Formats: sequence, C-alpha cells, structure tokens
Amino acid sequence: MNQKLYDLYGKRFIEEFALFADKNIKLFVIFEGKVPEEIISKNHNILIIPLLNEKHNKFFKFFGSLYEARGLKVSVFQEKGQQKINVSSDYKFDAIRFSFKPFSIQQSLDYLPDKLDYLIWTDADLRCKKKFFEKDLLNFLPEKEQLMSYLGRKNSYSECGFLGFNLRHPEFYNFINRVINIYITGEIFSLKEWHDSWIWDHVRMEFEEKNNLFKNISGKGFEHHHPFINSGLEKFFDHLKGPVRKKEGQSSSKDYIN
Amino acid sequence: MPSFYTDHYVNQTVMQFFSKSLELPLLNINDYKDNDEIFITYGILRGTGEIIKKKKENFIYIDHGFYRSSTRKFTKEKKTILNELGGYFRVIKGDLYFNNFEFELDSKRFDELDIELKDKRKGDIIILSEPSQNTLDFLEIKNWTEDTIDEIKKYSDREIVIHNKFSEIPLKSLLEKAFAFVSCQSTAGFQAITEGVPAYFTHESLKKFGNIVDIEKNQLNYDVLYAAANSQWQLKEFFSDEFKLYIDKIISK
Repeated sequence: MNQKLYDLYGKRFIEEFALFADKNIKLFVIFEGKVPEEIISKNHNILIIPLLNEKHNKFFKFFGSLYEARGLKVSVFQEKGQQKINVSSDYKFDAIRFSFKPFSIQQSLDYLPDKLDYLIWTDADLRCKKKFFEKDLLNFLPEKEQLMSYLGRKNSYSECGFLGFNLRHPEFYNFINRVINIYITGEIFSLKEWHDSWIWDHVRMEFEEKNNLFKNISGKGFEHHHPFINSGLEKFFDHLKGPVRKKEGQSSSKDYIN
Repeated sequence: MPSFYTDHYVNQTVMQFFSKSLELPLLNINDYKDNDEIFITYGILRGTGEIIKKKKENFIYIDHGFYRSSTRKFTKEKKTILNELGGYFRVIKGDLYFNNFEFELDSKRFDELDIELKDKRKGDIIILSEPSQNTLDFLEIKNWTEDTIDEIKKYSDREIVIHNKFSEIPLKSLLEKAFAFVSCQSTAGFQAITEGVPAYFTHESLKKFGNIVDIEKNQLNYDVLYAAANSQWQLKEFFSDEFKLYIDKIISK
C-alpha cells in the first residue's frame, strides 16, 4: 500500500478489517512511504510495516529504469515507405508494478511469530462485510499436506488477490525464494508474461511437477473471471477487482454466479 | 502503561510491535504528559531523549540489538541507511545500553545465535572505539576520547588506535592486531569478545563486565555476551510468551 492506494481504498479496508476481524487474526500492512498517523495506533491486531526490502531494491536498481519492464512495448514498422515507431502499454509486462506483492510477502516473513500456521495474502482492495474468525477462513487455506491455496481460473492465469500459505509445509520457504529469485535474477523477462499472477502460477506448476500439492479454492468460480466472490469467500468479503468495481465500491450483481 | 512513538518510521514500527503484542496503549510522543508511570519508547531522538533524562530509571528503552541487529549502512555523509527490520532489538530497563541489575546469564539464547567464539588473540594495540555524536551529546561526555585515553594510560602503555563507525579501516581488520577493545558502551565490544579480544567499558551499566583497571589482565569475559543475548529480541518474538515474561521481569526490577 502507498498513500495513493490508501486514499483510494486502503483506508476503508483497514477500518473494515479493524471492525470485523477477530483479534486473533493479525493484519500486517506493508506501506510504502510515510504512514498516515491515524493508523499507527489502530487496533492491536493491525501493524503497519514500512516497505524495506533489500532484494526489492536490488530488483528496482537492476531493472527499474527499463521501459520494457514497466510494460511499454516499442515496435518499429514501415508505413508508406517511412519507418515508424509504435509505443503501447500492456499490464501483462509490467514487472515493476506487479513486483510489490511477492516482495511484500517475502518481507513479511521477517515479522511472523514462529508458532504461526498460516499466512494469507490479500489485496488491499478488499471489503470486509461481516465479523470473521480464524475458523471461517480455514476452508480457504491449504490442508496440512498442501503448500498454498489459490483462486485458479479455467481460461486464464490465477486470480491472486487471495493466496493462502501453509507456513509449516517443508517447501514453503523454497517456494517463496524461488518466486523472488525469478525477479532478482531477471529470469522473469524470459517468461511469457511478467506480472506476478503469471509468476505465482509458473512456480506453482514447477512445484507441482515435484509432487507438491496445492489447493484451488475457486469452487464454482473456476470458470468465471472473478472467482474470489464465487468461491465462498464472498460470505465475508468483496474484492474490488479492476477500476470499475473500485469506483463503485462493490462488485456488480452480474459478477456473482447464481 | 502506554508506550510512545515519534514521527520516525523505525520508531513507529518497533513501538507498534511492542505495544500491540503486549496490548498496551500507543500514543504520540507529543501527547506525553509528565507522570510516575514507566516511560517506554525507541531511540533518543525527536523528543524521547529529553523525557528519558527526566525519568531517571523509570523507563524501558528499545534500540538496535547487540548482535544480529538489523543491517545498516553508515555513509560518509553521516547518514544511517537501514536495509531491513528483521534483526534483534535490545529492550532495557532504566538504561540506554544494558540492564543494570543482576541478570540472567543462561547461555541458551546466545548459543542459538550460532556465533563463533574465537580463541584469545595475541595482539598489541588497544582499540579505542568512539561513541557516536548522539551518544556523546546525550550522555554529556564530549571529552570521552581524551578522558578515556588518560584513564587507559594509567594502566597500560600499549599503542591506542582510535576507531569509530565512519572509519575507513574496518573494525575486523583492527581486531586482528588488538590486545584490548575499549568503548563507552558499544556493541562492537561484544563483537570484539567473540573475535577473541577482551572488551572494557566506561559506561556504568557495563563496567562490571570489563573495567579499564583490569585491562592488562587480558581476560575474556563471556558473561556480558550471555546477558546481552537475553536482553535482545526480534520483532516477531515480541508476540511470544517468553518476551512477555521478560518484560514482566524487568518491570519488576
């Protein structure tokens, strides 16, 4: 989160989390820039942590000045005997913009108490609708032998607004380290797409090939473009995916499968 | 028993972890009002130092730990750049540097750090580690270097080499040639001991572990390492029962 996103929807998310989350569920917010005063002394289960990540800094230092790494594509073509340049933008290649999630997850590991079983990543454009407890989330978390739960989609890359990690899984740290290495080595630029959802799927499939188990929690949302609110999670949350839903402050009724 | 934060991001992060793990109120330093309660904060800048001075020993002070503290770089422009906050933080009652009462000398937490203890070196020089400007100002010891050199010379005639955090020669290189390491309260003193160089301190809370009068006895004392390890915690440990017990213990002192 940064100030801009805090103003757009982050503040509301934190307020609703404070209102509805049971005190045993802790929220870590990785915040880029000066933290708004009003949230520093918020509930005891909400901690605002500065974005302070040496590996992310390294990634930025190596690749941050490359326009291509920000999704800009330059192509040269001929028109009426003249050479022309076309510049276009494609979010699927904006490695920089979509790098904050994996590095925030990686940074949060430094602050997790040792006895914790699960870590959930949620995008900040989340709305909490009613009181929720740890037991309410267990269905959406990996089983004991599974590494991660995710919202898979049949005809697209996974929706990564919700990721559930099994901190006790023997391959969990290897999994996160592999994701981070793809960024800091530049391997990301050899992949078909460069946004983090592609990377999460890519590494998940690598680990599945090595017989590690994952849990697709999409349920009836699997064939839908917005699985989050068709997975069962909609009982407690709404995910404001994309600019239109963010502007509206809620998902549309058309987004729900009846 | 509220704890207090300033407008610096490190202070804000550490104090959130402290107060929220223990379910204590967290207030802005600007809202502090003089009272008899224990004062709890991180760092000595931005108003906290002035309050600490007034509280005598009735405060809990948090700062970077003695070993495996969060990695930092010190630039030539005298700025500190922090790389992360996953390291250890010292949590001390009534002093900025060390708990000044009989303390747990169990070696378990130190052993878990897996720090090699090297054999005693056979060096000749005495390294004099200067405190930071903030420390000199806060403790009002602006003549510390000259006064300490005079003190050392009462007990030893070895060459004294001055070092500080902006020195170009790395401390590790100097330690290879060192007979002793002298500082006010520097955590580099602990590093010296692990490198096989006896360390001596001028600050009251640490003198009992190494006093300049004994400098020529050249004895390595590991007690200070164990006590230090038992006084420092990572932010993630703030949520543990062990940390809560530690806080209860030091508050009662």
